Amino acid sequence: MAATLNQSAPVESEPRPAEQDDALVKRSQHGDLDAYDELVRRYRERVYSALYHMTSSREDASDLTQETFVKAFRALKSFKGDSSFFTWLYRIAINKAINFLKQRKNRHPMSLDDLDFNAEHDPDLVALISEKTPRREAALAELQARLNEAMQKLSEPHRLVVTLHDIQGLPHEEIGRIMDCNVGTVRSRLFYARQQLQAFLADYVK
Amino acid sequence: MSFDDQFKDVQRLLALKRYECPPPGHLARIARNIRATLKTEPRDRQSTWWDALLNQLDLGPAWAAALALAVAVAYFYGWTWSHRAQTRAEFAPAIPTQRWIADANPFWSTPFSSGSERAARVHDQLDRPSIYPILGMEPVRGWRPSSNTRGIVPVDYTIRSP
Repeated sequence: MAATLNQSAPVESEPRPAEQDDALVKRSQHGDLDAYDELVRRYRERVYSALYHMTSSREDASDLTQETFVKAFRALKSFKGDSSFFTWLYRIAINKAINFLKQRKNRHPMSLDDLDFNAEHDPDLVALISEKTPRREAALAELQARLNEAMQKLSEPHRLVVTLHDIQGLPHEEIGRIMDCNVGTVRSRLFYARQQLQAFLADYVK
Repeated sequence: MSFDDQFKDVQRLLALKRYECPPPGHLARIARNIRATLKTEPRDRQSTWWDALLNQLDLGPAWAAALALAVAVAYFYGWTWSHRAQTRAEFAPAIPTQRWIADANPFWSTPFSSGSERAARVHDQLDRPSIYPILGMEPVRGWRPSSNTRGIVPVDYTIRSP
């Protein structure tokens, strides 16, 4: 399951037909928990993934995912359908993450998810780490830790654009809608964030 | 070189994060917890005005900013209003009392022997406002002392004969 989950990137911004989501949202607005369960099933992976990459902590991401979906259900009545349910849900998740990160400013306990075994066979990653060490598995784990450390050094808005674009594969326009800013801002943040990451990961970048 | 090409190596490194997966069953457990939380809480809970307000605040930074601005304006208005009222009270003219006039010049002090019944009665009346004539005379502002009158009558007051 995990392999199919993460190899599906880049993620489409409208993964399901809009009318299906709309119908589920309407039923959920009338208190239908089964309909909301279906929405949770559809989007839990992406929401969890975004929150995990923002926090680098499995426990925090799990808690925030739960809080996001509970809050979204409570606020469903205020959802007018101006944006897609996906965008609206992501906004809630991102707000949760940013508020949470502001509160935990001084501590960075990383509890990382395991790497899927397919990572060892990714030709791009193999090319990047083959020169470092013959023990590929150890090198990948080290690279994972370094990557997460580097991500945590970025400011929240910069980490967010990297998460949504470079990891989750969302287009700039969708990120602009989620973050409530224009595409130019998204691009400039992305540029700066990548520059920062390049400096933090200089050992791995040519 | 395109925007994305400049950072190809960084993007390749970031691809590793797509392989990070939660343990099997973890997401299903989260979904169950969500369902359990929603089942236990009454549906009406979210319809309170306070929840609705909090939801709106969290979802709309513009609304939160507008509310904060309104609170700030109300606070500023209240502070200004209270300060103005206080200032007026400070500058309100004090009503002169007979005691005040008596203290200003010994001439108006109680001319009776202390302890007598009349002295006690006059003493009780000292704190009354002296807007009425005292012994047929009333203090009038605008008196200017001269070399002849200095030390005889209270400064700033003159005696107008009835």
